[in-house]
Amino acid sequence: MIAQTDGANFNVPSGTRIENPQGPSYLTGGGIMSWVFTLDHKRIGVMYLVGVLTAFLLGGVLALLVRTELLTPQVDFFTNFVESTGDEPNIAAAKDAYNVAFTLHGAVMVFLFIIPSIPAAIGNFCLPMMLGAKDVAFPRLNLASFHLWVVGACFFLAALLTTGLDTGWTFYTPYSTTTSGPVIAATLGVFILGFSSIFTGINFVVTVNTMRPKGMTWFRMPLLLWSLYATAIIQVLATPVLAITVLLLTVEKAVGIGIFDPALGGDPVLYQHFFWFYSHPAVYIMILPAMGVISEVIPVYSRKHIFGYRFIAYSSIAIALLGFLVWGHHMFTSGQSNLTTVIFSFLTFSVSIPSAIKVFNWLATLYKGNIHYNAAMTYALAFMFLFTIGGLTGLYLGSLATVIHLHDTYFVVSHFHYVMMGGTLVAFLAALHHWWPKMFGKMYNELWANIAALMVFVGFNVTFFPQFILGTQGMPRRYASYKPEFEGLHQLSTFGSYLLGAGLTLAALVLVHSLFRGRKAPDNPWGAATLEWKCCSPPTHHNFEVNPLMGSPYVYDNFVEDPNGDGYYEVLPDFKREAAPAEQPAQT
Amino acid sequence: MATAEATTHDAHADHGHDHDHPEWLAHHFESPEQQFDAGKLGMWLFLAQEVLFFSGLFVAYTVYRANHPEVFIQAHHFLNPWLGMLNTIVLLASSLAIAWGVRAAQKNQQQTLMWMHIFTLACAGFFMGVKVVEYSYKFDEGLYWAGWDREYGHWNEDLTINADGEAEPKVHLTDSGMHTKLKGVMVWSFIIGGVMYGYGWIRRYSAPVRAWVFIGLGLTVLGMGGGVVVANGVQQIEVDKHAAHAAEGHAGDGHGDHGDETHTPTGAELDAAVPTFQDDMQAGGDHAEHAVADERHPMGEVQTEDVEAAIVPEAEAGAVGVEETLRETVPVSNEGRPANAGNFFSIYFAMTGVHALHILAGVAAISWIVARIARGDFGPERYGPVEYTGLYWHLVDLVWIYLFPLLYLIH
Repeated sequence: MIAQTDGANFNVPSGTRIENPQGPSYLTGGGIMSWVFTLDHKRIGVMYLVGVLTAFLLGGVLALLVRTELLTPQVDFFTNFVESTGDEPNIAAAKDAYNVAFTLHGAVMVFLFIIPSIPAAIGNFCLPMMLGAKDVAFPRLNLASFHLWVVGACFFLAALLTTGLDTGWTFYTPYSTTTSGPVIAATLGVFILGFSSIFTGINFVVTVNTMRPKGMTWFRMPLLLWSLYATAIIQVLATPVLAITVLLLTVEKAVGIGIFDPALGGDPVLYQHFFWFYSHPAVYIMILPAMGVISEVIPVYSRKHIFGYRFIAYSSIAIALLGFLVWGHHMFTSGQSNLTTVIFSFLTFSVSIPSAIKVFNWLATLYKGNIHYNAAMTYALAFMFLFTIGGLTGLYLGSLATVIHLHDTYFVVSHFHYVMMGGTLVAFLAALHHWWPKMFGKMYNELWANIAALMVFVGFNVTFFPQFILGTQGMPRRYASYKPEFEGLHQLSTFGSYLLGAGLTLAALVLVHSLFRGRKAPDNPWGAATLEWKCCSPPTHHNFEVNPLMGSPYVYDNFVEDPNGDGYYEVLPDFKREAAPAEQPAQT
Repeated sequence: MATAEATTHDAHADHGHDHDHPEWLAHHFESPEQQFDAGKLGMWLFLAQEVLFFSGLFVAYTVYRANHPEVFIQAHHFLNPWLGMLNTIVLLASSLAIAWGVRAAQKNQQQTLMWMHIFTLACAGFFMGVKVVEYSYKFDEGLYWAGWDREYGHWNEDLTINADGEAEPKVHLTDSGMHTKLKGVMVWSFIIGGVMYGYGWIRRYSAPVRAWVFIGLGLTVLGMGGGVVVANGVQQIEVDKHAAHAAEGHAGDGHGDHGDETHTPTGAELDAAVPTFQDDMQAGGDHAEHAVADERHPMGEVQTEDVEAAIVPEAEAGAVGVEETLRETVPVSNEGRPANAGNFFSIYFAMTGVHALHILAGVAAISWIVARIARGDFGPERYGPVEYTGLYWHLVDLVWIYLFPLLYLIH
């Protein structure tokens, strides 16, 4: 084996250095139409990336508006957005506008950003390359999935922006069937987005199952693929239930089919069951890929084989399966029988086991690792911190005694922001920074990216930690005004959100700056061992000009840091070198 | 895992050469087998997704049936199981045909392959024809889904009474204008999409291929016409039977047999000739007794509480002039229809409607397969798409196999 060498006494090992012939990059060539109708998974991934980031910008601005309103106990900020009645500001209209704003924030963030962010954007880009395949199994379906996402987003935004959708992102009946808001357009949007998600899921499962090249065994797959596989299973099995639910809600609203409307003999709690049968597993659609990203990032920047590979792989599947059994904990206060609540509470706790397995394995990977504090690693460490808080506070909400007190308070708001935003968003940022050089072939400024990461981390905690306290003190969610004694904590939270916004803006600036002024990225800037780092940066259209060598995705011994700071390059280990020359002419 | 094992995948090596990589094999697949397996797994996953999509409706059915048992007991009188059975047979035949088509592709019997698919299309048309007749009879009878009145106020006025006991028309379709715009956008999307796809399609397929698709779709339409004719005939037989039955009076022994069949409501066109349930109720006397007795037969198995729970307000029942005793056992609303029948028909229209949409999607998919058969795409080497479409069609058939007993044969 070749030992790690440092720059000072670096000498080129006698092994064969594996070079990539540089072909034309997937980013170049063709006009705009070649992007819109591309079948290349990398281009589709990049288009998804642009889409979800736009959605995130919209949702984020709305979040800042909502937080600004909560700076003071009175309803004052949103009066700027509504017509005043005579001399008095129109408080009722301002409250409605506030309802619309948080609904828009929640719905856009969940359906347009968090759910597609890692699987569709990062997953589409990385999955075939990490697998060693040329593309996903169904490139046309992949393109259809993106086009559906755009159509769904248009429906959704048209509905949300033209008139006030004030139902909250859950569209609970009977309010959603009686409100005058544009529920139909929004639910049709969700329906279409659901099919987009299903198509991505089908594509990923089939790709992983049938397109692994020789040598890529199940247990040689990078852990991101395991988690994307588990995610895809949830997408295929849970989303159709949401699809039929929102379809029925659409018909309910349009002609009064009466399945959910109690005035027509329907059952509104049935809607909640259907909705959460999807939307709880959807929480794992959000967090599982995030966990996969962390499983990739931590070993690379610790320069150490991931600890407990199989446990992490199996725990992804376990989370996917258990995720289907816990939807009832969203209805603890909706009049379920006591036995049902106890069972759902128990099942809810059981999900924490595979989650904890992952966290402890990451910790064990870090232990005695040679840790590189790159921006992606900072985000990954932040993820572990935030996800642990989010997960542990989930136990309060899964416990029957405490949830009665905490139900529909800011404790819930804070909990799911810690999991969904502190978990998924931060992991998404880690993924973005980790794969940015591969996607665009440019290196960003590590120092500024790290500063942005720290701002996000601090800003996030300042925003959401006070909300736990607010929740335990009884501050209910979704209100535009509150009692004066909550003012201090709310202000702290709002200032935190500004810091968070600034951090995210800085991160965006750093990344955009790199596109124009960034140093050219080497093929393998981080010394990662997964296959996508064995093609050029950015990759060529067919991904691999040289057939990659399938090996363990977490063994870093063969990667030697270039003394000129030009990333890492791979050498064949000693024991392979003798056998290698026969295989090398595989270059095309 | 600990040691890195270098394994080039050799199959890549000869990628790009013509031999072993036929033109129809997508560039990212190594072999025809891989492409076939991927397609098949994808289709099965899609079908799993479909099953879960329908499962929402089946759960809703279960909950509805638990919440409104009395409505389900009455409602089967308003569905014609013969029409359901006809459709079951038609779908089973089409499923057989399409499976036969896959076999024909494997054996390179191009004629059989083509005609089996066209037969399937005709069966789909027949199915839709029968559905059209069924739906139109329901609408003629005023048997809509639960909320129909909210917009049109035709019946079941009590549903719009608010908490204070005042009748109040509910705001239903919103006045925002958004929906009108949305409808416009949807219609134009369909038109533009249709034109674009039509143009692309014409460019893609030659004239003889297009001719085959027109034959297929023409036979679909013909099948639909056939379905309408046959379904009307079946409905007529039922009506005649009912009329004969009604004419011979209310002989008690007749009811036992009749209970297993149906007391089929008739279409508006038959109102003049044949007394409908509604007329029965309003006429009182022999007809009313007959009809009511007919209705009571299945009701005997229902718990009294359930029946009483379903009784409509006295004011309405009183208006139809039926004796007090009958009113207690037969829930009827002011126009002679069972109270809350909409609760059954909501689920009926939802389930059969979604199923019918799947039939239409199947017609589109099979037409596409017909075009490709005509182009000579399929043979023993390559029949993946034929098989995938067949699998989809089997699923549509299978869903119907469940819908038929749950909706038509329920007692």
